Amino acid sequence: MILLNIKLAFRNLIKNKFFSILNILGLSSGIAVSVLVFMWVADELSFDKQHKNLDNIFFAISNQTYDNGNEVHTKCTPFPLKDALQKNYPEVETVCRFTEWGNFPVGNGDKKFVTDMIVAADPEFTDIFTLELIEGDINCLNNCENIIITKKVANTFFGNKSALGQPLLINSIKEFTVGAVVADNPKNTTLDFNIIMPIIQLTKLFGADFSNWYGNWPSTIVQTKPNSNVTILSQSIKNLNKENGSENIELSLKPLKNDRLYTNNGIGYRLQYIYLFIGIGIIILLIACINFVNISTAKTQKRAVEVGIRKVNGAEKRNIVMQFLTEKVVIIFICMCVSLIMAYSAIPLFNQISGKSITFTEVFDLKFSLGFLAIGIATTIFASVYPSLYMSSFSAMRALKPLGSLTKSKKISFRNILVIIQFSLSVALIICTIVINSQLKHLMNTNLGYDKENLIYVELNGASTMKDEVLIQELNKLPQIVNCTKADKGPFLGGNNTGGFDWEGKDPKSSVLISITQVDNNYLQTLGIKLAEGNNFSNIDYFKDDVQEYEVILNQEAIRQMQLKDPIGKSFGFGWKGRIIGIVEDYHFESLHSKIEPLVLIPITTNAPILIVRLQKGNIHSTLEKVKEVWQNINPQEPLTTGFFNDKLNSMYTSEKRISNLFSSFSFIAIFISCLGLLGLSAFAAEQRTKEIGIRKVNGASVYNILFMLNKSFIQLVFISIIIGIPLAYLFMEKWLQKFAYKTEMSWLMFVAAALTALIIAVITVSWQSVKSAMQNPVKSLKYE
Amino acid sequence: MIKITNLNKVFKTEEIETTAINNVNLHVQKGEFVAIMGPSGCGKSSLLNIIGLLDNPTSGKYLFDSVDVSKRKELQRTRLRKGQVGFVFQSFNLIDELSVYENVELPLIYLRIGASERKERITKVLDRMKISHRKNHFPQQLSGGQQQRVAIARALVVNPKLILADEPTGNLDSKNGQEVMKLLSELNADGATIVMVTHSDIDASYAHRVINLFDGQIITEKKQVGLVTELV
Repeated sequence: MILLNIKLAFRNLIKNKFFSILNILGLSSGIAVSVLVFMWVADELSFDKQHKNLDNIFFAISNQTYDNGNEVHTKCTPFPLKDALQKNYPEVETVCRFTEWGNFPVGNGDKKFVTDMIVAADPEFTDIFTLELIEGDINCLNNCENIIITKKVANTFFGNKSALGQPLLINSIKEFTVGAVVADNPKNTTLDFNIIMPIIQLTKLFGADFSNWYGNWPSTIVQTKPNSNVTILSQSIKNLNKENGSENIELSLKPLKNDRLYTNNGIGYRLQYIYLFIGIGIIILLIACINFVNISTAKTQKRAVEVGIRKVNGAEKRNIVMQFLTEKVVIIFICMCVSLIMAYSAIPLFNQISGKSITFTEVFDLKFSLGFLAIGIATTIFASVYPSLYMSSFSAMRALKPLGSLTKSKKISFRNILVIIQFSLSVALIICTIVINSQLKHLMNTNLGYDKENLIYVELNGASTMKDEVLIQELNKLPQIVNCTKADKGPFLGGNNTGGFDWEGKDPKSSVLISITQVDNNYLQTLGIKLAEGNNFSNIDYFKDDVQEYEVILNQEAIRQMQLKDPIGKSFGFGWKGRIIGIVEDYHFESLHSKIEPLVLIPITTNAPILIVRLQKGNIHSTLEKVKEVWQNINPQEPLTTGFFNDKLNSMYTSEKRISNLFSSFSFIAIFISCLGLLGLSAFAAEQRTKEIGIRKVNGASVYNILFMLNKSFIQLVFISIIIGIPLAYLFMEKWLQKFAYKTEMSWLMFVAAALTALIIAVITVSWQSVKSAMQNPVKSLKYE
Repeated sequence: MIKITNLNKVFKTEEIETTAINNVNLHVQKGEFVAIMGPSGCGKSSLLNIIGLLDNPTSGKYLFDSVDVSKRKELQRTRLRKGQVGFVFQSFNLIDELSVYENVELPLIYLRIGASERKERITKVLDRMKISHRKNHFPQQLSGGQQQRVAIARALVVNPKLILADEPTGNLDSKNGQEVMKLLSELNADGATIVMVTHSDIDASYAHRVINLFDGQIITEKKQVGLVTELV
């Protein structure tokens, strides 16, 4: 029986080629999207799984509260926290500190490369985290002259030879010995590194004070003993900072396994995206299943007679259900095979859009197979149970009635409801795409308070001040260069909200968080930042002159929060003495997710990590070549790291860009699948009404009349869908926009555009079939009937 | 074989109520060949549906082979019908996607008859219907007469106690129609009970008894012996 049913399924597929293609294409696309979403989610949830102790690893989180209501939740903690945790809490197995040092030139003899992800950690790092040792001693960090390097770094410097015992000079200031080589980190890891040096070196190289409870620097990572009560431990360490003098800081513990999905204050932003994508995957699968159900049940007219014949010949309801289920399962199986091919082919594009580097072989494991099977089962339940039950419900008498005598209900049918759901979701997705794109455009085009065009940055890699000055002088000689300025960071790296400032007339209770940026006297001019009051920095050389007092420039927001009247000339300090000489108009130094915060510009007194260069308009790329030449002449050993401001600024919205791209793709797929369904339904409707069309035409109906009659019912459904889809998308997008300090307006035009898009696509789809029917010779259609 | 007493069938929609069968009494003996005639809409098909256990009467009693089947649920009717009743339709009602062999096999599969017995029975019945040479063809590859022979083969393959024919020659030319009627006659002569709905006097002439329906009621009943008609 099953064999006969399978045979019949294939015969039906071949017989109804047009609808089979619609059905398979629609459902396969839906399943393929679900597979890609499944792969994305699996990849997101696979972080840090390589660590054997994952369930027992926690970050200490410093939760800082300030008087103006600002809260900071950071992994930066005081150095002595490690010893305090290790000594006093029996639940703690071991503790280590970890901090990123940065990207620096690393050299071995003549070989010199800028290496990123150079970190500093305690020797316990290798006890807590699971690293795959390739050669050497994994505990080598106990010797403060040793470093651990990854295979990639070892290969870069030493090729196939052993790296053990080899010297590596980091940032031209300290030579280390390679004590161990470990395997490269898996791509899905929170704690990435290329070189680990002993954290104790921070005291030796930079004078870090390991007994200071007031400074927050490294991450403190705690490994608890198995089965420890972490809630109690978290509660008992809460006041450690307070007990050591920092009244506004409380400590908590954050599991490493939650690190990617939750922010430090426990908000699951990333998790929300996972839910969002799972939701979209389900929506697309649902839309595809609705198609399948609609096309299957639209065939009712034809298949009802068959059901009748079978029943007359002794088939019970369960036999009919079984037959149709087998047919559907066969089609779903074909769709699943096709979807795998589609997903496989779409992976490169999907990776490009989502910023992932997923490979099919990597994810094709037991978990994936089970997930794929789950998608198949869900699809079977969604798409085949209802049509099978529906078909089996026809009475045997259907066989005795002539074809085409199925009663037509004037009520909205279940099929229509499905079309409405499908198009409501598609309209909502189109609106979301428009709003997200508009927000992205808004972010890209917002006036930042400075001129971001034709600006490049050059990383100075800790080169000496002397060399910096030569570089600036040489660059300024180039006619293509407008201006150069040194700073400790560009206005794309965000702020560093710091408290503890002092100023003349300060309310003793006031504690305003202010970000500090160190700049030279060309900064305002190079970036095009406007002075609102006072003056720019003077030409004092802080490296040479004996300066008692810094010149300080604040932004308007700082003055507002400090509630400072007539600020020019007033004193302002932070351990050092300073005097306010100017106020700049507010400009964005963080991404537009947050509002402009208070900022203080102070003269740069250390080696500048970054040089900002304004270029003449036009021929930017040839200018960049000139900059490279100048750099090579001055720093022949050092590779140049440079880039455009615009690229850096855009990278702050990578996640929004990805979401925008994904939404665009998903709404395209959703509307494509919906239209396949609509095409199928309209074809069936036209077929079902062949006789009616013939009679109407014989009685004088024009092609336009017939077209209107056939299209009307579908267009009505799309209208209802628009009415449902608009508020749905509005509510969702309003929530999404809440996380931006600067957001686009959701204008009525966006909704009209989405509605028109859906409507036009639907009209074209439906008309494709209707026109054919309306043009048909009525004699033919009546004869056919 | 069939004993119908005071049978009524009323169809109700939201707006109207139609009496399709009105107080019908009918007895059909085993081995009898009965023709039901009457104008369109007189209730012939409704009566055939009830006799064939496809539908329940609204009221009245129906004994099928001495079993009261008047108020059976669909599943029970299906199980009673299986293997007992064979249907032949005007429009043949073969499944286009199944071959001749598979169409005839269908009722045997639902009766859960083993593959070898199925094959044996199908071969026999196709031979009898002189259609074996077309067993791998699909319905649309056959002439109307051949299709109806397949439909009859499908009805016969389960050795039913009763064959119901709904205008079996309605879609056939006279030559093929005559062939089908001869076939039904032969089956009846071999012992099959046949109830046939027809508009054709010629077809009706093959029956032992002709019943005339009008507005859901039996208005005349004629017994026929050979070509001699006797008014009852």
